[in-house]
Amino acid sequence: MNSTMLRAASFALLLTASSILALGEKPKVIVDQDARGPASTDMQSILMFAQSPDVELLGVTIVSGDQWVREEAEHTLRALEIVGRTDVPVVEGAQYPLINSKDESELWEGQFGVLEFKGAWTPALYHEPNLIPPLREGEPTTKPLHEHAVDFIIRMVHKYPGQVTLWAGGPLTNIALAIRKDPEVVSLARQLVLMGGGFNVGKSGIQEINGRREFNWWFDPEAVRIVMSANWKKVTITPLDVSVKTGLTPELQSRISKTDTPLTRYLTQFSEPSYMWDEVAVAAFLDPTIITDQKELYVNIDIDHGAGYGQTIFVEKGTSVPSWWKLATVQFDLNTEKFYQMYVHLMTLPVKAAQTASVR
Amino acid sequence: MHQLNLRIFVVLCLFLSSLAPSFGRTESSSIDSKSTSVQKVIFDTDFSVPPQDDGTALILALKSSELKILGVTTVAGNATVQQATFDALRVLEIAGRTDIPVYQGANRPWMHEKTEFATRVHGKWWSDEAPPPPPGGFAKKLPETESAVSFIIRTVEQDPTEITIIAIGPLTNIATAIRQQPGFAKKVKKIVIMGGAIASLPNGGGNVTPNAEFNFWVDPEAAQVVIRSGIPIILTPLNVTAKTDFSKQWFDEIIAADTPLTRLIKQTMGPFYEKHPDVHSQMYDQLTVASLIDPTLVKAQDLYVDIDINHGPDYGTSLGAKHPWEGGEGAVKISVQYDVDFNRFIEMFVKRVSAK
Repeated sequence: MNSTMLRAASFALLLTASSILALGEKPKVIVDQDARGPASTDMQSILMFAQSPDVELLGVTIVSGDQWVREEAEHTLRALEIVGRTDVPVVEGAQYPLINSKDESELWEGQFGVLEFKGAWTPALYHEPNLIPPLREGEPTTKPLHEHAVDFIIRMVHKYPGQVTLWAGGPLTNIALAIRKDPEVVSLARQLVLMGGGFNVGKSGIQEINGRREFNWWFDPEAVRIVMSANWKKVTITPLDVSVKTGLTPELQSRISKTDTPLTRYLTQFSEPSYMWDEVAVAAFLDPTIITDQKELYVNIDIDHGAGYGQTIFVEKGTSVPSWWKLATVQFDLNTEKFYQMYVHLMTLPVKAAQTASVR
Repeated sequence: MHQLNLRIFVVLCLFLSSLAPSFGRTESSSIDSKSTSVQKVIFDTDFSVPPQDDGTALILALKSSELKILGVTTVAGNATVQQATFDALRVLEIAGRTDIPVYQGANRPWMHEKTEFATRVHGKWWSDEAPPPPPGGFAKKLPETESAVSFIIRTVEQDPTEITIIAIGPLTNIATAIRQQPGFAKKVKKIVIMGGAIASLPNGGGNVTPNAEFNFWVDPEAAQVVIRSGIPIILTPLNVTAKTDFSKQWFDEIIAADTPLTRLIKQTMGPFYEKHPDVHSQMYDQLTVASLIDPTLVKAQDLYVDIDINHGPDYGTSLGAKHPWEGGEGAVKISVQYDVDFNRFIEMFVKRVSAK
């Protein structure tokens, strides 16, 4: 290998290693989450971002989904206190989906069968939306930002035009409202990255045999229609197809608990074995080489209020489709060991000393 | 001669109205009738200059001391949202009411996508084309930097249960405000809406598809959210606007007065009436505004109403019934207008719009 080739090779290596670092500038990320707590997949994805030295976390915007928004915000504040990231604003967003409702879901179940999981509407977990039950992990002393998530998203994309990645791990209500409130959100954002939908997967949906009925997208189908029909520069989807190839196993949990930090203690005490729906979407954003198979597809959602309400729909690239169908990069497979290594690395990093909130 | 005719007409109207004492006895109990104090309103509109009904509806509101317009919020519907914004600014400038701020709202409905059909029928809600200059050119004043939805939320939060929303376009802005702000719906005094056509009442056909009315059809999902929100609602559907007619007679009376606003009306509507002197022209949004000022102009009844949001042949259709029905479990009881004392209404309209 001559020196030119060597230089080219090391340059290529450097590019790979810093694939998300645009010329030394840390990518700016807003995490939009239905942040069930404690230590759920939602919360662990937030914690991965909070622990990563490679991103500038502008804020965490919260939306109802797995739990109600106000309760989720409290869990998020507490989790960020545990990792000393109280500098990251937590911003409450929409309490209800655009159209879907607990009542409608029950009418649907009367015709098409009971759903196994309905997030905040799950009968066994249900409580009134403004009620905040005691937090097992302790009550936060910090408060949410005095601004609405929709306005925070709009303000940030205007403040940093072309730079903000919207990373969404929950129902897309906040982002849909932001788009309809200020259409410039779409052109000002750098990209949209999300966990949601299911394609050619036969499990992990909210009914056992229907992987296209994925929870985030089912909870607010109309929001997905607005967001997926918008003209983003780039859309990346981590669907159930990838989630089901991951697992927070006891073995993986033990790799975390070998290190002793406030975060590992929190995870050891509260995390439960499950698919790693949202964690893998963070990892793939931080290091795209974790993904070993992906495909461009036209992706949208069924919003007719019948049997297929909330199911992922998609069309092969190259098909002639109306203008509201937009292409997205859909991930289908991953290097699990590489993913687990990153997960363990971030979760076992030392946590920061508590910081005072910065003004955004 | 003309003035004499007008006087005879006014006397006749007064006589006829005295024969119709049942007007104003609305069967709705939830919403108070004529209020003596000034009503604070937000004017949410898919505006464009007359002949568009929103244009003369705004002029009626501007000329009515019973209403204090806190702001005009615009939405895509008849026109693009930008045209709605710049046309509203221009009409306010002509009216000498640049004290009223204009806030730009949604540029698209929530879900409804541009289709080939949409491009063939009335309305430019699906377009991004630059707005044409309004008559006399663009107003000097620009829209506010705050968004329509933020203004609506802020205004209602600052003055809970005191603000009435006049919504005479697609309901995108109002639905977005409801979904953004928990508790918002409880703080709105009431909404008067021009929209829908109730098939089970007389004159219940649509004006864009067989059963769907334009405002609801442009954004059916938003209409459903607003109808179901729990905000007290008074609806002006096509059933009642079918009983109105802004015929050339009334146009002539208005332009007989010479004011900056009647000159605008003459300029924009004159050629149309020259060409079609016998035209029937429904007064959609004007009736919504007039019946807010004087509820005794209309008859209304409480009905359970919901909107079909399935993307089939009845997309955007409004349904109303005295009792909930299977599949209509989400229907909510609102006040639906079904008859109007047209003579008193047109008298009020002509008098106010032509006022100095």
